[in-house]
Amino acid sequence: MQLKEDKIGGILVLKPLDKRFDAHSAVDFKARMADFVSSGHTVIILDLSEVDFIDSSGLGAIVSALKTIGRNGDLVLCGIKETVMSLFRLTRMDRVFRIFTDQGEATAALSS
Amino acid sequence: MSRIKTTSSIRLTIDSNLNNVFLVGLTVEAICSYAPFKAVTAYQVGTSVVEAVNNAIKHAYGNQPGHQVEVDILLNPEGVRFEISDTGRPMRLQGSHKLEYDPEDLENLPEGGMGLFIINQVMDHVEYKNFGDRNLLTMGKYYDCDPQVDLCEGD
Repeated sequence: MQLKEDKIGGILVLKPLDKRFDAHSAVDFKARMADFVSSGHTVIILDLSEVDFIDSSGLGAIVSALKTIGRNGDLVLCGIKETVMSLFRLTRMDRVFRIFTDQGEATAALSS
Repeated sequence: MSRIKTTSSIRLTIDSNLNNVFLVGLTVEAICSYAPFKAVTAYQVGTSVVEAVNNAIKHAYGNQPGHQVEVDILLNPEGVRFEISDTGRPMRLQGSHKLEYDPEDLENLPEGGMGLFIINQVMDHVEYKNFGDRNLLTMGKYYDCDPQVDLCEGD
């Protein structure tokens, strides 16, 4: 999976550039997220604005990243399209994650 | 008049490799976008088919490539039906379509097992049968837009 990386202060902003976040890309994403966390990045914004499709494996990989970060860090999401958001709602994952409209809103919330 | 007056069908066959599933997903999404579904419904129906094919590859074939997964898509005047078949290990589906968890309980959040839940939530009809050496998952979804009009309320 292609991931665009940015750093805003102590926050790591990750933006998947692949349109589809599915069972095939989820394996690579989980490994990459584990690497980011083990190298000290525990406050992460995941910008899903380029993602047109996510399946349960993609959702599971994001949950896995949240667990890896644990309670001493934060993983928030932003930029989720309405169709993709419908799957978060269906699986109640919209209650698990803090979800923001865009990177600016997410950064402000994590910086306050 | 409805764009879909008679039954049309297409068969997709892929090798049992997760790398191929997006081809099925893209095709189903395109067909469902043409059919009188709301945009979110079309997306969720496409996701359900992807979940079913993922399950066949992961569970029936144990993630081993070199086997076939067939997806028959039947577009009817009332709705769309999918028949996903494989020749792998039969799956146990009883009771596995529930998704119960506490969103606050970080350690016990589900990382898997959501595919069947999604299928059962989205589709109007789901049936799984084993015919000896062949497993067949049939799923149906009725249109949620008026097929007589071009614009769908809620889109």
